[in-house]
Amino acid sequence: MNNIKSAGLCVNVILAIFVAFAMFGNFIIKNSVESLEKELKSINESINNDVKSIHILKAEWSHLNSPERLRKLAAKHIELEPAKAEQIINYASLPFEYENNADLRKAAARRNISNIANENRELRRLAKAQR
Amino acid sequence: MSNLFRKKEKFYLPGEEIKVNKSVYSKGCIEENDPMSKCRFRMLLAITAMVALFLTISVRTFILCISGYEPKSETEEAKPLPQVEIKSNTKRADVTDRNNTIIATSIPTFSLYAHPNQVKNKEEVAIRLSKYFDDLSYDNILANLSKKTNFVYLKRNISLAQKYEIYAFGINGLGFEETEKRIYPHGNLFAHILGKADIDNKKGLAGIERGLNERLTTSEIPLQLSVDTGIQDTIREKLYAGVSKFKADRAAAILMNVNTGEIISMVSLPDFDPNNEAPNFSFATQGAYEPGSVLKIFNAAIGLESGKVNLKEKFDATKPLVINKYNKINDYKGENRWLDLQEILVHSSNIGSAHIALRVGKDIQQAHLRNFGFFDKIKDFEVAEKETPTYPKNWKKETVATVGFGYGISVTPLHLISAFSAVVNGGTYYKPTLLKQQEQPQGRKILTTDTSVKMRKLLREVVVKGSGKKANVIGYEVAGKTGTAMKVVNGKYKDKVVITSFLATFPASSPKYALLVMMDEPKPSEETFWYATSGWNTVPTAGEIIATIAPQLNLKANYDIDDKRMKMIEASYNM
Repeated sequence: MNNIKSAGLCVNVILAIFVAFAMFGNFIIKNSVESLEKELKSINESINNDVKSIHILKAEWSHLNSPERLRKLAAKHIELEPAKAEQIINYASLPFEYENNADLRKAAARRNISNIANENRELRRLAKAQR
Repeated sequence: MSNLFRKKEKFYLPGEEIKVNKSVYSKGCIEENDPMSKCRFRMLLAITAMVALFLTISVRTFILCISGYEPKSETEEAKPLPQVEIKSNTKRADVTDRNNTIIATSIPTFSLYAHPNQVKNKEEVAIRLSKYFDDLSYDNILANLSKKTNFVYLKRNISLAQKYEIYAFGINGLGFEETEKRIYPHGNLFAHILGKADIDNKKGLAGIERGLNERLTTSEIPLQLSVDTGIQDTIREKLYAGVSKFKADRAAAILMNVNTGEIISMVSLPDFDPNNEAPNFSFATQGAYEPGSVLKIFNAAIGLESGKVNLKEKFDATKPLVINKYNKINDYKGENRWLDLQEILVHSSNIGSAHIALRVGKDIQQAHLRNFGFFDKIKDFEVAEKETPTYPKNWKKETVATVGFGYGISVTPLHLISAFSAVVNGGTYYKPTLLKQQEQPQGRKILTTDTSVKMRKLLREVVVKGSGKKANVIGYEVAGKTGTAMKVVNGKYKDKVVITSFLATFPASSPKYALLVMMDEPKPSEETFWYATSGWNTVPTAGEIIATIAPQLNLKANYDIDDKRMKMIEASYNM
């Protein structure tokens, strides 16, 4: 009878201690989860704020990059203009000798192209003759 | 001890009689009947119950300590664990151009409101706020604060900094509501393409904001358009200069990629600033007008396609073409001779075009015009403002003839450019679109490649020899056709009150882009020798546009070297 009583008491006490520990552990975990959640919330909030600021900055960046504004700034600060068609030329039309005069340069380029074209024509004629 | 109790009969000590004599009490008792034996069983039961309880609690607690998160059952919706979230906090998706430049975005703002019944010292509050906001008047604020409602907006869309500053005033009864504002960083530049969103940023009022409202409000992914900010700006600037120079009432320009139908730029003037102005008429998509001579392009293409006209045959343009008593077709500055198809286009002969149209006939003409999309609204186009072309229900003989040179049907610039792209790109009609195409879209073949190639050559000659000379940008082989259409004023066609158009493509040898420039009522001036025809206003404007944008579009300049010669040069480098 006493044996049973003391054994039961023992088991109960052990279990109670175990429960106490487990509960304490649980409490600690819950506490840390809560603090993590708080941290997460504040991180999310700051991400949210950053996303908002990035959004505003992007809009501002786009505004600052508007071609109209850049054109005005370019006119004020740099001596650059949009590229013209004449400025983009074929490699074949590059003059071998640099001429200071633009018209001479253009003429040289044209001469160059027609020389190449003539050469090609000659080649073609020869090829035809061979055939 | 028990013996002691048994022997003594008498009580020696006071209170001894009430001492329980256990042996006496249990004397004669049978073990089974002992109440204590029942107790034992109950005790066992209690102990077991307690142990079970503790065991359950401890196991459960232990499991709680070490276990991870699991949804309770499969049917239960898994509640996601809280996570780091990067979410867009705007109600509408951004809109970008084809190079991912933001052209419309929403930014978080605050709206200042008041609970008028909680505001004390209304005059003082009105003074402070009117001093702070330049655009709010004292009377206005006071009127708002004196309203007998519980809620009134004082100022919409203020910034975070302003919010803090007003907060610092410490005024009772004011509050801030989180809102957002749609911002168009480029102002007027994309006015008619983007349109405008309403003040709550929930609904689109015009343009893409309205046409694609659902897409913009349901997805956070930025919407990428086919337009190019740089090109759009160049075209708007040049068109604006042209409009100021020729004092046109309105104007429009569209640049389209002929091989995909993507619109690289679309401008209508006058435009508006979507940030603070109300949307106005978009000529490029809404302005249906009788296009005049530019329709001769399609007339010629139909003639060639039907096989009823060839390049060599000549048409009698020596005298006006009389269809009936009321309809006599004349040429503007007529050549008064027989003209072939090339000459008809170069000299823009109405008589010649009418001859071609009459030969082709009503049925073929209508079928092809339908194929070009001239009879239907462009339904799938992304902006909300669209117009249905108008054409006579009763398609008589004179209609056949007048449509041949551009009168009788009204179409929008968007219709014209889409059909024109099909004429020059090899005969495939692509639906015009403002969305960047990730893959080659499916077109509808409406003309043979042969017709298209012929048309390119014919149109190139118009720019080299005819009315399009001023747009002959060296190096980019511009091909096109001008059109000057008289406007109907009070039911009659009025001379010198015209809508001029120029349809062009470049480079003609393998077209990549099509450009339409049109002006409504350009005025003649001394500079244009008192002409108001297309060749004097839209053509030079288009020329300037092409000269500037072609290098931006990465097109290779080709200095009047014909195709063959160019190929030979290439070949010489490959050898």
